[in-house]
Parts: sequence; structure tokens; C-alpha cells
Amino acid sequence: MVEVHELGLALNLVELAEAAARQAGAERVLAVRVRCGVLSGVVPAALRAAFAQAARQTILAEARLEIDVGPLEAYCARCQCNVVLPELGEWNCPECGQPTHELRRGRELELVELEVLDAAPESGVP
Amino acid sequence: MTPVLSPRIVEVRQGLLQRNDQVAAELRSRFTAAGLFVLNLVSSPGAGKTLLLERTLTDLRRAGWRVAALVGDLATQRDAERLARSGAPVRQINTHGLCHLEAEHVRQHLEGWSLAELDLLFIENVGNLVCTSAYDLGETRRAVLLSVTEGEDKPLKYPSLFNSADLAVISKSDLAGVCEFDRSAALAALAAVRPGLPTLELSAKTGLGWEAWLAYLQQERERLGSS
Repeated sequence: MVEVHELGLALNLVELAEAAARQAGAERVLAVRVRCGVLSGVVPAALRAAFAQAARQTILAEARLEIDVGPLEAYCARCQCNVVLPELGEWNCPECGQPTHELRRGRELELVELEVLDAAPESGVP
Repeated sequence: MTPVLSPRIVEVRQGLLQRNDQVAAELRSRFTAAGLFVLNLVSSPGAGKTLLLERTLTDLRRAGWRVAALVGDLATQRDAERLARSGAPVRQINTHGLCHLEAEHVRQHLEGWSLAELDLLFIENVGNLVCTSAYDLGETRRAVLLSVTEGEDKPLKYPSLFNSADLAVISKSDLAGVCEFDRSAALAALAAVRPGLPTLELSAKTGLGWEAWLAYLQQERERLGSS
């Protein structure tokens, strides 16, 4: 079953990817790489199913969808840098043990890149 | 001979929700310019958003605040009709099956309203704990309702929405005893997904915890005015 939420996202994704591929002069898209934070609310399997539907009859119809689930990253005021939090619910800095308060990554939902094939050159052209 | 084409990588790096985010950013700057405090109310269906708003609109109007509401539902005008009894301007947004409100819905339904003549705008989102979390509506604050009838571990099951909230409202607290609501478990679940999330507990039916809720709205509205 295709979830409504992911279908909406998949339609956005196809639209963005198609525009980017055409702008780059590509004829066909082989792969689409997406990054979802663990707090983006996206269920990868649902996005995959929705993408398969949304991509029909487009230059993405045959493309594989690769979903990279990005970790939570928070800013640690003591270490003065971003740190990766090991799991949801554990908000203390893994380096120094202090509580972190500022989430820096984890909610993102992004089309990272495409793998494309260019249009074949006209036959007869050397 | 057929020329061999080799695949190449095209870097994109664009948010899937960038169009919504753009409209939301435009709305936010209009709200700020008008000095308007906007609260986006989210929860599962039946957590008590409409009753909370009904009483809130009535009480704030009585206290002299200029309030309005947009109310999102998949279908029907029922909630708008309920809320309009408060006397406040209310508009219904029907999403026709879509599980959440988008910034564009809000933009369209604000047409004709003078934002500068309002102090507070409430947006009652579609009852949904998943989709509503990803769509910024340009709001000043997002409040998530968790009713005592729902189970204390809801935040753990839907971390994305509870993490995105600026306030948690534990609603229907008059039923806490009957439901054997485990307050400390609920607070622990909220803290696990969003440490430090301000939390209020209230009953729109009996008025329990009501003063603190009105005080929160007033304080946040004034903070906006002074920034």
C-alpha cells in the first residue's frame, strides 16, 4: 500500500529530479540518492513504494532509489562541535557526557544527487 | 558502432519540501511584520484540539484579544461551525484527503484578512501524528496535544512530530484517573524525544490547568512583541 504522506513526497522528489536531470542534459536517470534524517518522519519502505508509482512514465521510471538514513547530530556546547548521537532518546554528548540541546541534523529530507545517462550522440557524427 | 555511454553523477542537494518551506518563510515574515502570534496545533484525531480552541477563542476574545482560527480537516465544515460560535473569524480548510496542512493552504485561506488587526492566529492542523511534522506553516510556535486517553508512549512512537513541537499539552486531564494515566511515564517519553520541551496539563472541559495555558499564550505573544 502506498502511504499518502510518502506519495506526496515522492511526487515532489520526481519533479525535482526530473528538472535537475533535464537541466543537466541527461536522457535517463539510473539512480536517485536521497538523504532522510531519522526524525524526518519518512518510512524508507513507504517512500520506495511511492517512488515506484510516482516515477512511472518519466525519465526516472527505471531509476533505483537509494535512501541514506542520516543520524542525529547535535551541537555540544562544551566540545564546541557537532556530535553524532548514537540513538534517539540519548541526548548526552558521546564525547564528554554533557547534555546537548541543539539538534543540528536529523530532520532533513533531501535529494542529494542523481546518476544519469546522457543522450546518445546523433548517429553519423564521428 | 554504438558509442558506449558511461553514467555520470549530477549533484542536486535540494530539500524535497523546498517549495513548502519557501511559502512558509514568506508567511513567517508577514506574521512577524504584522506582530501576529501564530500557533500550529497538531495531534492525533480526537485528542481534543477543537474543544481546546473553542474555549480558548471564547476566553481570549472576552479578555480583549483579537483572535482568529484556520481549521484543517479532510472534509466537512463542522469544526469551523463549532469554532465560529466563539464569535472569532474562522475559516475551514478542506484538504480533500491530504493528511496535513501545507503552507500554501494557509496562504490561500488568509486572503482578505488584515493580519495587522489580529493578535493571535490559531491553525488547527489535520489530526495526524506523522505528516504534519514535516510541513512548516510559518507558525511562531507548534503545540502538540497528547490526551491522557492515548497512551503515554505516543511520543516514542511518533518522535518526529513530538521533536518538532515547541510545547506539549497533555489534554483531557480530567480523565487521567479513570484512564490510569501514568504521568511520569508520559513526561519521560516526551523528554526522550525532545529534552526540555515545555509541557502543560489541562482539561478544556473542566478548566483544570486553564490559567497556565492562557498565561503561556499571553507570554509568547508578548515575547513576540518585544523582540
